[in-house]
Amino acid sequence: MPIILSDELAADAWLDTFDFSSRRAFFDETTVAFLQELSQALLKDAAARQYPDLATFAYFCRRANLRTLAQRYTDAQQRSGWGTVVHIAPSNIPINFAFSLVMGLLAGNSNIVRMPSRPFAQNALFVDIFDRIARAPEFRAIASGNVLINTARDSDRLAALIARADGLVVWGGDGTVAGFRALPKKPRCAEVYFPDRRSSAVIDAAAYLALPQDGRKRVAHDFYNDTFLVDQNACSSPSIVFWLGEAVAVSAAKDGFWTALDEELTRRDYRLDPTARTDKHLDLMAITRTLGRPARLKPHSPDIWCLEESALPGNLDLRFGQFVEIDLPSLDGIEAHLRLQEQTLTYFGVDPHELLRCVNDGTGNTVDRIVPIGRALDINPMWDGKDILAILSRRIDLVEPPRRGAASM
Amino acid sequence: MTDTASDGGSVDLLCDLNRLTVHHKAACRLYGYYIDTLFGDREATSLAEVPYLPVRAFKTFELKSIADADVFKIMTSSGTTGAVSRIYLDKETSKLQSQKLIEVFSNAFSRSRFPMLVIDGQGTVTDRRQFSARTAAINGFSLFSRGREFALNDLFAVDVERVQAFVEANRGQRIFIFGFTFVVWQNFVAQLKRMNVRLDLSNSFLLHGGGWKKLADQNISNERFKAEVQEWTGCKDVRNYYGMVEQTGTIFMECEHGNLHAAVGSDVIIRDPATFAVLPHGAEGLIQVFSNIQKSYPGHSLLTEDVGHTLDGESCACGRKGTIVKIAGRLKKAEIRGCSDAYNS
Repeated sequence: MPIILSDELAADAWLDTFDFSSRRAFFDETTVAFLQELSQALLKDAAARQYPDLATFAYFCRRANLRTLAQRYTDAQQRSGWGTVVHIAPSNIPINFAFSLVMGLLAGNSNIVRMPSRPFAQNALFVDIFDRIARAPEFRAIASGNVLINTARDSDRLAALIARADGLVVWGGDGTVAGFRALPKKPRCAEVYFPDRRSSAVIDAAAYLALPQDGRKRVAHDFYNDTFLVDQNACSSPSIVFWLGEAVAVSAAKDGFWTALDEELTRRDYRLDPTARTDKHLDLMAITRTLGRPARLKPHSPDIWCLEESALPGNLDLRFGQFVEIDLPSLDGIEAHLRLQEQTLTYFGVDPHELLRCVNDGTGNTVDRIVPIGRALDINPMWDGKDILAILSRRIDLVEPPRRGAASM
Repeated sequence: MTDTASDGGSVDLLCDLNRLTVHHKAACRLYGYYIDTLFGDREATSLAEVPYLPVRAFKTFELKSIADADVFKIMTSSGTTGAVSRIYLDKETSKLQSQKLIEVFSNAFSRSRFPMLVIDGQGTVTDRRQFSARTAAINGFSLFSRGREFALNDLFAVDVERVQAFVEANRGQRIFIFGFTFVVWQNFVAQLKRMNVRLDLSNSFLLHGGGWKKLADQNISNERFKAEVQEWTGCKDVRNYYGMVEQTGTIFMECEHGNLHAAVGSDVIIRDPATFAVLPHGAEGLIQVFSNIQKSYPGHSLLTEDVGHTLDGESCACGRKGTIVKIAGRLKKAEIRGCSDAYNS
């Protein structure tokens, strides 16, 4: 999978060999075989195993997992790729571009992926291993039908590629999304956008307090993976923690939870980048500006800051270890606190069906994921309320002939 | 007792800083909210306890402790990220800045004014569209000029004839050469070398600032810089300074022994980049600067994004007692993880 640099992109020469609009079947056999080999190679590679995101990605690409996934689509026989899909990967999450690429591949498309502008070690590893596997003769089509490009997000060449593409996937902030929505595209271009979102966790205080020590350790581990692993900067990382229960239980559960989390941070040698730590201060300043008064801040450690502010406006950034805590006697009051861009609710000790009932009542909230704590960042083709694989594949509608008995009616 | 710079900080300075914190909390609402939220109300008993503001705050927020009607000047700096710091000055703080600069300058050189050779193009100060930290610094240091000439033409090439005419016209007088470190290197010394032109600026001193980053990238040390300046211009007295638009006037001036000292009424400490905890002399980390003249805006205690370490000022043979700061460079731009692209330029 060659990486096309901006100069080469400008020269257009690579386009002569790139088969624009080549496409394959949905969950094509070659694609699945390729991803299985890629998965094996990633899991075997000692360097790749150092990166939890790369490891998660490798597990996702296992044949068994792909087979389970394919079974969800009973109409798989009617589906195939649209042609060439252009992907605009998020600049700041390393392996997300690979996930986007794999969605494009599984749906049956050829792919052009704009790489994140920042260099990430695990991305370079991924590209090396991908290329090694794609060198085999049986995967020639995959090698030639997928390219990575390095170019400015506002480059004319990129716009020209998008104008020729059959599909477009954009991960980015609201501003980025607006920019790409406005570009000219083929009339039938399939488009998927993933703009800014915000997320929350819901914890039942009594259930938490009932946990033995190692259970609390596990919750801290899982919560860390949802938040501090990505500096709480992913759309699906919770920034509000809802505590359910009696005041006394809630207070005890909070103490236990944050203490266990701080221990987890120490265990995993968490280090916030200094620029991010500065941003954390500036985010807090923005919060006090909006409040028009000092905020009620409760720092549990230099890395864990909790705000006891139940009515913060929803457009404020909470990241790098800043949480708002909201106490609720029961789930029923939760809806009023959900923000405009609320995406993922992670839960512990709460019946997810109850949670679903509370948020899926026809009111205006935007929740589209309810997952256990620890699963906030899980890769899944269902994202932001959209089925990426379904959108990136063309579905031929097939209507069976009417049954003989019914015809005479 | 730990070996931190704060032990050497004067009690007077700490009192001034505490007074300024109280003043700005009352006069700048947002600063007050921020300080109350994060640092509380207690009086600092050491520099380490003085509440600090990340210097980048001036790029995001309007932070001023004076009424709109009293704004005399707004100083701006274009950052590398494109955002601009806005520093609000009234007449008093503006005057204090000039006084402080005069104090530091005359302590290093002399109280007189000098024929000034600016290593820059005239356009940098005359073209209003190009107003930058460079413009501000050139204009600021022109306080010490009596007659000023620009060494570079509009294409930022050395105008040898003009420079030589200036040298001739000021024969017998000590000349003050001023420029940005990288410009002095790239557009002056390197060009003289390429043209094989040696100037006779032996009776002069060069003051330069603005950061070593670009020179450090080319592996050019302070020693080599000084040696090449001397070889091509004859100037033997070369001084670097460290300062920022957010604390204009309060600069760290390189002494004759090559150390940048904190001026009277200012100090510096180092914080651990990973935790922001205060570090002792010698340990590398983020530079926090203090100054007691910022009345119109809350800039008396700033956490910069510059990296370096401190040394006890008394360890220097020059006799100046101000804490020594050694600048290692700028903080590397972070690889922030997350889905949003706020960090992408």
